[in-house]
Amino acid sequence: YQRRVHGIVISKMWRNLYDQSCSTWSPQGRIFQIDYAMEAVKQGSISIGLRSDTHSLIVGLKRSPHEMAGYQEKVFKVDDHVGLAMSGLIVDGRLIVKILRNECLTYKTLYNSAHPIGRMITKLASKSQKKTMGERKRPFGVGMLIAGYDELGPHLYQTSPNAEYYEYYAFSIGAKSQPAKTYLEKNFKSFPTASLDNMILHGLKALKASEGEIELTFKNVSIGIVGKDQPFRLLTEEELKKNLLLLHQQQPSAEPMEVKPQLIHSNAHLINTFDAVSYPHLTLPPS
Amino acid sequence: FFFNDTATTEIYTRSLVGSVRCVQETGYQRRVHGIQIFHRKRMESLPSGKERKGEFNPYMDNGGTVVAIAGKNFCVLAGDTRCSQGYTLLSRNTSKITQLTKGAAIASSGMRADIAKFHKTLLMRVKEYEFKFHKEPSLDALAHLVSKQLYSHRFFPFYSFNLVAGLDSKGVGAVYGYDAIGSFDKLVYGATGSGSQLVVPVLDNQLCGHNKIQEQQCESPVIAKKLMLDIMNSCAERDIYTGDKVELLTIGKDGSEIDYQPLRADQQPHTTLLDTQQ
Repeated sequence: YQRRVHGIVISKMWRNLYDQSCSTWSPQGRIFQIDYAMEAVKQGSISIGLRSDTHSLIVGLKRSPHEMAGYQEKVFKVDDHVGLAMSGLIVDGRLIVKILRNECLTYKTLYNSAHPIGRMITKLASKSQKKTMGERKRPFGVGMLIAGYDELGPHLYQTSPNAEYYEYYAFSIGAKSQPAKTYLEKNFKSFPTASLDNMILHGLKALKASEGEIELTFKNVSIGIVGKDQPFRLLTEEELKKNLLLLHQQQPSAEPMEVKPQLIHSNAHLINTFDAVSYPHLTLPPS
Repeated sequence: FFFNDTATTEIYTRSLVGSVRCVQETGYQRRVHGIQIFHRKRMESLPSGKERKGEFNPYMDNGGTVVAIAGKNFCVLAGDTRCSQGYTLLSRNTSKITQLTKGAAIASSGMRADIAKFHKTLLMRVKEYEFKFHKEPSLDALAHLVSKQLYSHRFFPFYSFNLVAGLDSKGVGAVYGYDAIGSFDKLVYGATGSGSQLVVPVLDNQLCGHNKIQEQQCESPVIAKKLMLDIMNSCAERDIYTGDKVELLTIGKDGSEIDYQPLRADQQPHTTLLDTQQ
């Protein structure tokens, strides 16, 4: 319905009155521009992060606009001990990567040591907050999962346009991130003592849980690892292929597979983490 | 003012900075019988560079010698580890060599503080390059980068006399020599520092015979290392600023290795109180 308030016609959507800029509060105490920026993160392709007591890793699903085009890189190295995956407006993300890289380099030159991750996140949060407090500024339209290793151990932080940040054992952001979150929630208690190979498989399984329909290949999956004695790096093509093969062997597709007794070799214990109950559309082959 | 001179920067950095004699007239003006008279109270002349006492001199030479030899598929850098100030020893264990990439390193002599800052700046620039281009800079790119960094301080130069050595993109060794403000040249071997004038004639003799027209590259890293050690030892004998240890960095196609060899240490063997107590 429409009402005349002070001669102005207002539609039922009260939101439109209060969402014109970052400097306008709504009567419910929200700043809609920031909320809209959070929506932009949900439009981005999925990023998953998880950590154990020794390693921290991030998995990103790369998008390609067209089959003739390449894939948009999602996982970026910030320094030898930090890397991040971003979801949302990638161009804003690239600016943040540039800022963080500069911060880390300056810190290294000044103090001859690696930038503590927590401090870097608070610096980023301060910068993000400044963008939410101005007439003509807009928040960053990108959420990040930052994986790093410093003297306190491995870390996984999530940052978002509203300048809030949290540390997680495992998390996922972006489009269709809920199934991945469900998978991680079910399994994160086993992460602290998991080996790096198992963690990579967990990450891929979480990705598969969310984006099961898309064929996961080394071209559209990006995995970054960092940890004790492991400077941040992306997995190579061979490593991705190997891990994706392991993933496909353990998670059968819709067609029933022939039973292979030699299917289970070194990763036998991982079969137990595959919970058939949460994924009724996938069935285990008869053992 | 600018000099169109073929002399090297080392000469004018050392002797021209602060060497111009400034004369300042202090006085006041008065009108005496309608005529403006300038009374000269005193003429102060600021002392020339060498006589400046109590004035802060931003530069200091910490001594030491660095040598680099480029071979057919390797290169060797050597730098002594002594840091001195005048006749005082500041340290027997400082490094003059910094490895910048897997296949290239920089060795500098001059002022310790400027060298440390310059090497740190270069490490930062190399990292920025790697972020941008997803690969390490080639030796040629690095050589130009060093020159640019030095020239960016054209009007307050780094007191750092550098040699950049490594393997170029074809795997052949190369050495680049610099002056303080970035002019550089590709060489087969180079030496810089307090003992460089003792070292260069020996290198000229050993590496290309008696004249510089035929330059040959060294075939074997073993020979080059032995030559380096001999040269540094001879240098340490006659140059007081060179000694203690020599740090040898060999860069080959499989990677690099560092070796330390003792040099003349200029210390008297004597027993300390602790020795006698044991």
